[in-house]
Amino acid sequence: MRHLPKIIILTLIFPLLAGCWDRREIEDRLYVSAIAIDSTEDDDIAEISVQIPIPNQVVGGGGGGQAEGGKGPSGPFELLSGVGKTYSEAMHQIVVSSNDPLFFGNMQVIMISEEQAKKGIERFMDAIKRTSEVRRQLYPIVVKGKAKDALNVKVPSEEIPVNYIRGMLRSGTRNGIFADITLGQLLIDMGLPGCQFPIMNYMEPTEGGYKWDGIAVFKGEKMVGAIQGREDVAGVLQVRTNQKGHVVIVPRKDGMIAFHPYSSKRKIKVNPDGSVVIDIDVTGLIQEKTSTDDLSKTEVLQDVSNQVSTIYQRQMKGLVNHSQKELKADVFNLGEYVRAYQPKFYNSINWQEDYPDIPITTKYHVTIHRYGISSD
Amino acid sequence: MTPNNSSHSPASKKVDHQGSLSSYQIYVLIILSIIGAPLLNFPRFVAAEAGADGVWLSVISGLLVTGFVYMVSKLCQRFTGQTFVQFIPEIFETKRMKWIGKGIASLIIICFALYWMNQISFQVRLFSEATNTTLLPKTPIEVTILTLLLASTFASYSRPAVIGMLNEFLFPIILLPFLLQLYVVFKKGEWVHLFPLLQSDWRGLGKGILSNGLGFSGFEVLFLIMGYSQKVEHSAKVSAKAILTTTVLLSSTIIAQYLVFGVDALSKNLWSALDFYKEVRPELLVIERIEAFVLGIWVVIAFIAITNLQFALVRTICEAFQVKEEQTKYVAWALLPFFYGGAMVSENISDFFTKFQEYSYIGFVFSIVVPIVLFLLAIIRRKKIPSKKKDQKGEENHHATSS
Repeated sequence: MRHLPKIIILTLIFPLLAGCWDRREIEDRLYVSAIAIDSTEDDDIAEISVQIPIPNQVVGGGGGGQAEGGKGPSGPFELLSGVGKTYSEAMHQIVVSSNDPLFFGNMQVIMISEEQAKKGIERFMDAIKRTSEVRRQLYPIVVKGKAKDALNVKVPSEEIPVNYIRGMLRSGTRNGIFADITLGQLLIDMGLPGCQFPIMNYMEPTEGGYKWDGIAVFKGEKMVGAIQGREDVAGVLQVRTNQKGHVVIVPRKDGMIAFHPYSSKRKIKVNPDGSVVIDIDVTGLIQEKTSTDDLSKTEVLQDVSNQVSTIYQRQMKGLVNHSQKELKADVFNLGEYVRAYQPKFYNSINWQEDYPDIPITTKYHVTIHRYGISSD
Repeated sequence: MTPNNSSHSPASKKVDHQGSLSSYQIYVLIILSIIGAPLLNFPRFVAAEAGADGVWLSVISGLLVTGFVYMVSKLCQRFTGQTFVQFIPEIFETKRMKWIGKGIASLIIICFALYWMNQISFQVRLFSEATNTTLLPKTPIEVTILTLLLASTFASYSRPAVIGMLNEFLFPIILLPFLLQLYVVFKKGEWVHLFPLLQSDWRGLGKGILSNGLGFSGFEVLFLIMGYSQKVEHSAKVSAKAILTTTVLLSSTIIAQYLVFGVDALSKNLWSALDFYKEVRPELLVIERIEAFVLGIWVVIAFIAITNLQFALVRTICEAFQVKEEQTKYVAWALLPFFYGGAMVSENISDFFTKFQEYSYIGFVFSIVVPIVLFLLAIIRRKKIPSKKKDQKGEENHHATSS
């Protein structure tokens, strides 16, 4: 009984504990899995759509699941849209039309239509980065056509299309094919003074799925073009994010050899005159061979390595040329290295304008580690 | 305020809690008093104040503070078993005018007390702002502030030995975020983000060293805890080691965040420490979101730092006014409204940062300048209280000679 007053005081304090104000039941929230940002005819106004899965409509979610693909209460997810001059204004329209508060903590993808990307993305990114709920691990992507429609694609293997895209992006980045650009990375890129050309994965909705179309290239906050073609994208990513590169087919006198890279490491050197030398070490294995070459001989492996290096170098030369002469965009993020290692030179030029005139040299060193379980 | 006048007999200077903290407890207590809630925001502050050079200046600041703390410990060693409340009057007093010592000491102690009050309010508000922004948006900030203050006040009037054990117990837990940051750097760090270095002029370098030095606020607790040390003769080495460890922890945090964000993105990220852990998706850990786990540990870090500072403040006041041990808790609870008021004084977050950083700069410069003056005066005026061991040895020798 001596401790009774203390017990009473402690019991009275419990309701004051901080977490109670933010307590919300799991079923009293609408979990946003993706948002789509589209432009409208008015340049100042954007349309924002959110995709909200309906748990009891998803197979295994207790309601039987009628995979009718979206719209309305009969499908496994709901699409809500709002328009406004700002992200908040459009979001407010969505909030007032929904029965429960939206929760962005499980959001997986942000889709931006190509049209809106060309008009600029900064104002949306600013609003998103201020929201602490949003994960920095989600994928921002640019989609061809209307982003809202891309959220409504019927995918046979997934009831919620965004799960399909997320899986596709995750496995693509793990395999080193897609650009490993998450929201966090995009925000970092947009905050680096030397990185004036952010990139994002570029996708196209198709019948029954999505097609990866390469990477969208931005100049500041506006999309200026895209790099398509697996070889070109792989070259960009080898330099920009240390990704492994792509498979190379080496022609031999009586057949071919397929080289499969499994790791790549680049070193970027900037000379005082601003010229850039990119050294890329690629390590990989022989995946396939139709020629009669005896791979157990060191000189044959060396010869194949040299051939792979030459092919990579030729492709990279074309890519550098494309980025300097056509895109006029530093897709490799070399500006950040020039700023870091030669700040005097960087400050004496306008990187965005002068990038096409920067001499860039690339050198490849290819090492073949093994050739599978066959001995030759 | 009437600091103890203890110049008459060394025996009367002996505080109740002398010898209650082991060397390891002192080591941990210093580290945990420095690393508190401000680390949630400190790398951003360094990036904004010192630019790219903040990375290496953090190490320089750490080494300078280590040397400085070594000197402070040497000062404390001269007054074995005494806290600064007891030895400051002795340094200033003269045989004829003892009131000078008391007067100056009172002034210095009041300044330290105000500085600690500012630091406590700053830490409480900072941590509450971080939790309210990132985790509990609907919870009124008054509630988070009060909850934290209630818990820390409850712990702060414990005996020094208890505070020592609490710090000792929590120390391994607080190291976890520092280990996890290695994983984040391994996954997301880019060397290029650290450059270009050496871009600041002399003024910029000075500002960078000072702003980095601010990260070591809280080391002043050693003025008090040295008086509770079991092995005063080791205290200089122990406190220098503690500051070196803190330098490693602070600098590694700053370098890690520079490596991941780059100086420009970092200077614009208010709660960079939490966003830092959001950058990776842990593949080996069971938890999906490590930032939530880290924030959980940060509650402990903030709690123990605030508790240590409150403990130092409460003990200082109690010693200055010779408050009995059983009445310490009343002092602790009476101070709570001041911390709360201090934490709530700013209307918005930018006002809060501006105001508290100004006060912190003033306080930090004060806590650097005053000990230097005290140390020099103690040497010049040959003020020293020999250690107990030496006393005993001296007595033994005396007996031996006389016999």
